[in-house]
Amino acid sequence: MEDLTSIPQWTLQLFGMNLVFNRDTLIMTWIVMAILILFGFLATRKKGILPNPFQVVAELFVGGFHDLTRDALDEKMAKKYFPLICSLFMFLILCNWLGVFPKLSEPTKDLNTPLSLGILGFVIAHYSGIKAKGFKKYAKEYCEPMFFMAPLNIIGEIAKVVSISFRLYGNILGGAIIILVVSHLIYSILLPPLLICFFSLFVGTIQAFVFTMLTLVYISVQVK
Amino acid sequence: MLWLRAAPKLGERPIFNIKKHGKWVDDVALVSQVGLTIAGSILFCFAIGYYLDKWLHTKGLFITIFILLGIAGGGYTAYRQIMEVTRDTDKQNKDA
Repeated sequence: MEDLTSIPQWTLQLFGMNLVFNRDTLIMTWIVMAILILFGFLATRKKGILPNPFQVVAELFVGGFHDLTRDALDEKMAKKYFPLICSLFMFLILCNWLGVFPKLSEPTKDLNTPLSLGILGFVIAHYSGIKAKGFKKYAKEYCEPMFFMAPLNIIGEIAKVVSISFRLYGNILGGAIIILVVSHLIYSILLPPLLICFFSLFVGTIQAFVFTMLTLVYISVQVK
Repeated sequence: MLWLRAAPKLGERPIFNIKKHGKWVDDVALVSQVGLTIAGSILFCFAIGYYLDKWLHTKGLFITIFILLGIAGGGYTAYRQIMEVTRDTDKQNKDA
């Protein structure tokens, strides 16, 4: 049970500052990145009409997410944003599935990961909004329907980041806690694997998809 | 194997049609976010109020103000999100 309460950390002293890194989160993120790079390499190594299994999976992801992005934005914008959306989904789904393997844990179980991804989406959405509409029109939208509504609009925008980050974090951490508690309480072979299948695979996939879709929706709201 | 037989063959209509269900997925993602947006807004404002109170040594003044602001901001954002979904659905129905 101490797995959940203790956070192993690395502390680095740099120019009199203490930089603290969450060890598990960092290592697991590196593992996910390594898997994605390896997958990218394998999928694109020998491209052909008769595709290898990696190419099939990659084409499914690329085709599906290109269509989704094109529907939410337009053709020109889709070309620009679909790599971000596709890689965000692939990164998140792998992060959420990592807990299935023994000795590995989900990096999304640490609030820092979903929050940084949420902030990334927020910054990109607002940057695209300013670029598409111009700063004056962008700023004017915050004063709608009346100028004194600006603080509420700003709070609402920031709340979106907080809510999508906490949604992913809560679901993954909640699943991990339930699996751990049930595994400690019962000595059954059937129930813990069933819970792992449900929380890691099913809930993990849904949450990764919802996070990606919401990032896409927020970008489209800002751009349109 | 059962799952292989159940899987759609090439050229058949896929189970999840992105063109048909894309908007529906957008709407479900947005609507399921409404409650969390209110909670997130209140949480964010609570944090600001708490740290302002701590910094300025006021006892609960900023927490109260910011929580009220958070409730109003969250409610207004949720209203806007719902209206956006309804407006899009109305537009789709008119086009169809």
